[in-house]
Amino acid sequence: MESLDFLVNVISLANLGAMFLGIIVGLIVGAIPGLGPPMAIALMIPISFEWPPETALILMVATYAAGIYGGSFTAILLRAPGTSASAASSIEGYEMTKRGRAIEAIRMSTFASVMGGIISGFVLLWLAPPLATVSLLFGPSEYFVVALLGLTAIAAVSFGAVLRGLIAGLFGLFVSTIGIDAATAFPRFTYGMTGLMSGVGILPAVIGLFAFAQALTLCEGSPKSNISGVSKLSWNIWPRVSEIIHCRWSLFRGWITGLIMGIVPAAGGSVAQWIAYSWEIQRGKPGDKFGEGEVKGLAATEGSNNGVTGTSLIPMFVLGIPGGISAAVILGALMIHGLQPGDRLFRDSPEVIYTVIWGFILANFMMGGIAAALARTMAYVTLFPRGLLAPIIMIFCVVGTFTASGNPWDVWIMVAFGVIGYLAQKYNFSPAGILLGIILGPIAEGGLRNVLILSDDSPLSFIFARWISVAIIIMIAIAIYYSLKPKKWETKADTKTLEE
Amino acid sequence: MSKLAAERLVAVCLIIVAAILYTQSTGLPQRAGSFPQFAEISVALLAALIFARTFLESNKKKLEGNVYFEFTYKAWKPVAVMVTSIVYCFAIFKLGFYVSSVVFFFIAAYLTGLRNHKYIFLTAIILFPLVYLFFSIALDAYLPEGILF
Repeated sequence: MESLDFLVNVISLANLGAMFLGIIVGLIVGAIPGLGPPMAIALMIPISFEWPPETALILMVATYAAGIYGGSFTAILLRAPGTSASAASSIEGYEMTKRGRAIEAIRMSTFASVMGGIISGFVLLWLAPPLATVSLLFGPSEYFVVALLGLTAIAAVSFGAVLRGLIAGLFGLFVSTIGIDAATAFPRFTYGMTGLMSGVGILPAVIGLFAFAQALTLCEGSPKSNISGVSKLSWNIWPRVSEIIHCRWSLFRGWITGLIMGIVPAAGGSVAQWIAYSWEIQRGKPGDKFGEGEVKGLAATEGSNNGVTGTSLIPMFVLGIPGGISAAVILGALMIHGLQPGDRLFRDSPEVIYTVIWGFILANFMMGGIAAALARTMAYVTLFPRGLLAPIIMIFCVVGTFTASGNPWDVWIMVAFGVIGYLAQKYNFSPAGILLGIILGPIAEGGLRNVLILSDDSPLSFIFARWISVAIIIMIAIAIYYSLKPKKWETKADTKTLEE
Repeated sequence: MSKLAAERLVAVCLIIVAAILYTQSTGLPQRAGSFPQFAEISVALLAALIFARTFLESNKKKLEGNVYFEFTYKAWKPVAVMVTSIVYCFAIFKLGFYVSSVVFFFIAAYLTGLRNHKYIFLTAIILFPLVYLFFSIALDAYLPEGILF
């Protein structure tokens, strides 16, 4: 194996140091709502400008992997996801924290993320060129049906209140249409406000719907009490074999979802986690408690969002097409160091690209160790009084949102979504549904519009003529079937949570 | 108000909002208006379904009882903090991020009902220098400055 020869290149002080730095920065920046991996990677570019290309790129990919994982810390501990790719983890993760199982949640999250990243790294190492050609098969028709597949997750994450969940999702779709229309350049629902011209960003929406709304929820309880209801934290920071066996199929489904969604341009971890989560809910067994701190749900979401990390780099490395913002920033770094993405990268500079990919795989191992060491320290935040946590979270929401874009309007959008998220949660209109609508709206609308143009207003014949679209439509049909079918684990929840 | 009436009121409000937005989107060019119209019509239909379901006997049983509005301070705490946070967002652009944040932190902590002054001060003394070091020094991020700091 040619690629194996380059493994030894990674084991140098400079590369391991870059990896360590990237992981620390990624974990910290990823954990702060609003900042996230693209900003962390961008921060690393000027630092690594003079470094050898492989060392600089190892720094970038380590920051990327750790940034995605870092977002899960705050999602699990505070219900304040650091990145949109961790939003689904806040559902089961935070419920586990509330029940005094924060450390258990973090260790499962660490295992799922680390293994997801490693598997994804090996797929990147061995299957990059063939998978890159698969990603080229995705056109407007596929984007549209992938968005529809994502929307089926709304029914799953509504926990019994399906009608309210669907309304929330449609509200999200509507919100995604605010701003200047990309095709006609016509402003939609902006009411003359310049700040709305560029639309509602996913970042302010996710921070508002989850983190800011959570801060308002924290104000409800006793200000002296803490989130977890416990006064001591467990020392069991390493995942147990029994837990891994218990969640083996959930982990597998999460990783598979992440690997596949990684090669779909524009989808990434933000969509993968919801598909993995809804798949998990549909496969739930009697005794599972989704929505009440089910570790299987967390394993699936965490496995999927880090399963994306390696495969999302495939279109960028092989074709020069970045699948997301983080990949685009890494592409920029690649070109700054005089490397051209594409086949030639693998042919002309194998020592660089294979060293970087091995660096990515090893960075995931190192991340597991560092994250496990940090887990208990980070979990101390759950012992803070609610009365202190609420204002701290709000301040971080504001500073994170503003730092990410430098746009005061985003702060107002974030606060507005905080209020919407708080009310939605209180009255059982799923905030997750709203977020899904906002994430998937532009993908669905753009895809549908292009399909209409390409098919001369006969979309069905166009969509059904493409085998990938047909395969995804079959998956949608299966997802809808399982959404409507009474779930084995839901028998108890039916009587408890239905408010409709 | 009974829960049944509240459910119907929510459904009617949703239909009205969807109808208003639909009329606004009819003024958009065809390709720009079709997607929002799809969302608005779907919301109205689902809300109509929620309204219709309130007439089913099985749902009437689920919606028995009344909606109670609490007017104690404890119940309105989140609203008080929410209003303060809106004032805070105005203040960061007028006074500056750090000054506004320190003031907001103390007011919000007080509004939540926390009275352990030692704890609040200690947290502030640790928190704000860390925020400054991380955002202003390490990230070199631009934060609103206003007339103060």
